[in-house]
Amino acid sequence: MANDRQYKFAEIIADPVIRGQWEKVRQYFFLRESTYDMSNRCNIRCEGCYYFNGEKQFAEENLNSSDWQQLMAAEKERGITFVVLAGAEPSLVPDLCQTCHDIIPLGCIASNGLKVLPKEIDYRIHISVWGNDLTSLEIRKAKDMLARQMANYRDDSRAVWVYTFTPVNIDQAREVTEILAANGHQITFNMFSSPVGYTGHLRHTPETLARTRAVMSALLAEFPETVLFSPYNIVAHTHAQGLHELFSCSYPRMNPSTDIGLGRSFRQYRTDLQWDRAAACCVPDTDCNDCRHYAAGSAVVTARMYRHASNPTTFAAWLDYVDTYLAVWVRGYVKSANLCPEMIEPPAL
Amino acid sequence: MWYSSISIEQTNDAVIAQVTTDPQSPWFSGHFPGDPILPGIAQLQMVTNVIAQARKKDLRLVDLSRIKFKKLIRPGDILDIHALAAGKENTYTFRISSKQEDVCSGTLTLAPTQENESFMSTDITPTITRIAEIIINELKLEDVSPQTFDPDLDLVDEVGVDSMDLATIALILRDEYGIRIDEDDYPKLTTVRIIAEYITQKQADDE
Ligand code: SF4
Ligand code: SF4
Repeated sequence: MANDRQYKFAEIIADPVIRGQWEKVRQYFFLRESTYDMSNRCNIRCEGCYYFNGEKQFAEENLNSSDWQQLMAAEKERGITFVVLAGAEPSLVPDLCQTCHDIIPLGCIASNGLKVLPKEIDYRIHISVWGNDLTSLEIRKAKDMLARQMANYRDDSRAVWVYTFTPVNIDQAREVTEILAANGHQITFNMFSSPVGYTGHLRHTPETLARTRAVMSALLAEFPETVLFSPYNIVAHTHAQGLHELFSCSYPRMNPSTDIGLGRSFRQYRTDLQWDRAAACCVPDTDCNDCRHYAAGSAVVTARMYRHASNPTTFAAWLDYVDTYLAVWVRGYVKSANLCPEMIEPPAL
Repeated sequence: MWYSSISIEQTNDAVIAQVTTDPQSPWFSGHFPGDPILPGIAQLQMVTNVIAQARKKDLRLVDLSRIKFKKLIRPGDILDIHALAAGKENTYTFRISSKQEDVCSGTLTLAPTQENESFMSTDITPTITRIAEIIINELKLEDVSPQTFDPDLDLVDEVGVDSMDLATIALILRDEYGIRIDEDDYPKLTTVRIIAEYITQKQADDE
């Protein structure tokens, strides 16, 4: 499509399909996230784990539920409407997760899925998967991982599996997707993003990025009901340039402004309930030059609405990205069909 | 001016006028492309002006209540304005109609313009009022009108605007004023007045 001409925003959203999608996603613009490390323990030990690579693992655990209650009340007070409960393994402290849910009802928990979270904690649950069960056994030292995760979260619409592509598991994504599809589950895609200082074999190269892109495209086309992703997600996360270079990351760690948006409201609390602006982002120990993390993109690409509102195609691609982000993160949000089938280049500033 | 008077008459307690809207007005070109309508704020200002003209006083709008917009005003429409004194000094209930159909009604409270102050002069410019209107619409703010919106309120701290709201507002302003608002500039755009100044500056830069 020739998109050289200047479009007014009103012209772009005059298309009823684009307008419908715009009205759908904008209802969620009130979401303001922060993230919380719930426990410094995990029931397994994976190679390349962010949590046990960084400083945060040494923070003491605060297990006092009234401290958590106070923190959540204060977070709500300063406008936080969405919590991400993560590192190391939140399912080891279900009572604290429940405390968070009681005060801030929208959120998501990142878990390895080996211990089921009580139903009352009605957050989205992201279950990490790093390859087929043979690879999981090798890297995560955990047997029958996918089978156990699925048994724990059978018929549980809170769950979505997050497949992290590394250079060594690209081709296993099909097997995992097929199994999840056969069991009526959903999957979304993440990219291994090197921790600071990491130069090992899991770091992606232009060749592995290209192969990942091809596999993601094929799976998205073949399993549209199972795979929560869009062509533009694929572009954004398998591009030779990382997310920061493409979209200029707005997390406090990379963004000195405290006036508005993530730079103002986002905090990343460690298990001792302290936070540090200089380290605050959703994946604090990740190398920004190699950051293609799904959680990073969910905030960073989404925040760049203005530059995507240049023509109908680019705006449709951005809407697909936001629709995917909401479907992956927000309980009850149902993804629509993608509007932009093309893999468009991200707009320059 | 976005309208011209056809007739204006008055009695002790009423002002009755007929006006027609000017298709060339910038209100129409920016609002909305291909679907021009006269925004509410321009309608209310028009009623204020008509009353001020009939009463031969400098009056400005200070309060509104029970405003109802029932029908869209298109370029070139002929409008009948009836304003009735509502008991309190300078308060009028009014109705705008077009071809016997109600367009807009409500109650306006006016006040004499203070010395050295005329409406929409240095303090509250049409751009400020329009930006306030956009913010009110986009954020679905209640209990405030473009006229009563304080242009010096901190949009983030006091109004609750966040980055996605600001991006949406920036897109509407881009359409209306033909300027690009750099994403890096969002943090600077902290009040309606500052946004208005930013627009003026950008327009000057582009010329
Ligand atoms: S399950 Fe998660 S927190 Fe636990 S070791 Fe593996 S990557 Fe780290
Ligand atoms: S690691 Fe990613 S999300 Fe975090 S600051 Fe760097 S670019 Fe942003």
